[in-house]
Amino acid sequence: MKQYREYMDGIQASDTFHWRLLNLEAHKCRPRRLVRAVLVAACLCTTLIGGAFAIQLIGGDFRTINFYEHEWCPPPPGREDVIGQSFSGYVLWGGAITFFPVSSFSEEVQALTLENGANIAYLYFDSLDAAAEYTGMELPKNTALRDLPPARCEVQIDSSDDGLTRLTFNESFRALNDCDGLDLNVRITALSELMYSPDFEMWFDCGFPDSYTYTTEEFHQNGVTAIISYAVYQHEDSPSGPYGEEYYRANLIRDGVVYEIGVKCSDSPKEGRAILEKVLAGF
Amino acid sequence: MDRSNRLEELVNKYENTLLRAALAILGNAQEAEDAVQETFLRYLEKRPEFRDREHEKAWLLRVTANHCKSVLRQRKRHPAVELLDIYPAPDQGSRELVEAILALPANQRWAVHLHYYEGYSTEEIASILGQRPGTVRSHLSRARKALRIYLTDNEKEDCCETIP
Repeated sequence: MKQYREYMDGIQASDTFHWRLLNLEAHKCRPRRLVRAVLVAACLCTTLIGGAFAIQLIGGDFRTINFYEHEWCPPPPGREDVIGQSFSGYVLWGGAITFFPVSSFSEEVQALTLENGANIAYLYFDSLDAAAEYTGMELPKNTALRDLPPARCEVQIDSSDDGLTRLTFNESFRALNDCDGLDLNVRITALSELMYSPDFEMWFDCGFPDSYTYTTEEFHQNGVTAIISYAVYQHEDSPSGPYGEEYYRANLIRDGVVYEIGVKCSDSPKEGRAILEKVLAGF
Repeated sequence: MDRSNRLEELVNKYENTLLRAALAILGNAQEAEDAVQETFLRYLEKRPEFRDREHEKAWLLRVTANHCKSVLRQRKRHPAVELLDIYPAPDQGSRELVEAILALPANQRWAVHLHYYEGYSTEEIASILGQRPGTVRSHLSRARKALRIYLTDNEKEDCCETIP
């Protein structure tokens, strides 16, 4: 029975489900699978026909992350009423985001941001591990990414006059196993306490170039919850991409930080999905 | 402690316990989540006073068990495939064991999960499930026969006492 105990020990409630339980009282109803189905449908409708509505559910440290399309700008603070009319994109909801104390970052980063004031700085490292060590961040472990050869990592450091507000790590890998045409990008965003407010929402540009059409789906496996986007380039071959090029991307929250993992495998498009799921399984 | 904090405390402490039990019985992730959600909603409605932590856990498991029974009465679908699709087993041996447990009748699955995973004795399982201890021993005995090849010698000789 040891194997059964070990198997059961590996089962954990997802962040989304945990949020749902914590907010049972606030909803004063039974938010059954129907609500979840409506939300999934809303996300899909939003992506397919555009101009649909975004449902926002915020509670405690659980936040909504909104991904908007290029042509659309997020509403200014306090004007969320405009969302119902014009939002197009998709929503990752119910994840627990951590607002890290400024003091938890390295002294080097703290000094840099105080010196910079309200500014953005870019630093470059030989690997994500090196970048994380410099900034003092302990990022979630991922066995699939760990097995890859280290790749150059850019760190964007956003700061206000009060100090560090956001760190964004960008690491790009090329070639993986048998997929020579691989383009694997990992973007990790961490927020500091200076970004905290009870109504804080995150907005990300979907980032799909023009002429890509995309669909989204919810992904749940082994405690990992993500939105996976599948995008296909629809125009004739151009610098933006060859016709029919396929791109897979996962957005998720892990240990309080926001992940975006994008995979394109031009030699074998379907391999891109398999690689993406392998990375997700690596958490 | 106010109401919200109390619910949060219970969710943080027991969500995985209840989810694993519901999954072991129902084998379906969405139905299992609904069962756990119903359990916490029932808690919010009833607000029972618990004597101690053990009473608290047993109460929650009992409510979950009752809801799972209702679900099972309404469907006949075999649970094994769905659970292992969402939560894959790490190796073939584990997969075969989980499939074997999920193939057991529901009463035996409950007894196996509460005894071998949660560590409850026969009397405690009987209290949680609202059955007689003799009935629980009978379920465990039949389950052990079906799972014989997966049990250690100690587990085969197990007299349903609490696992330390």
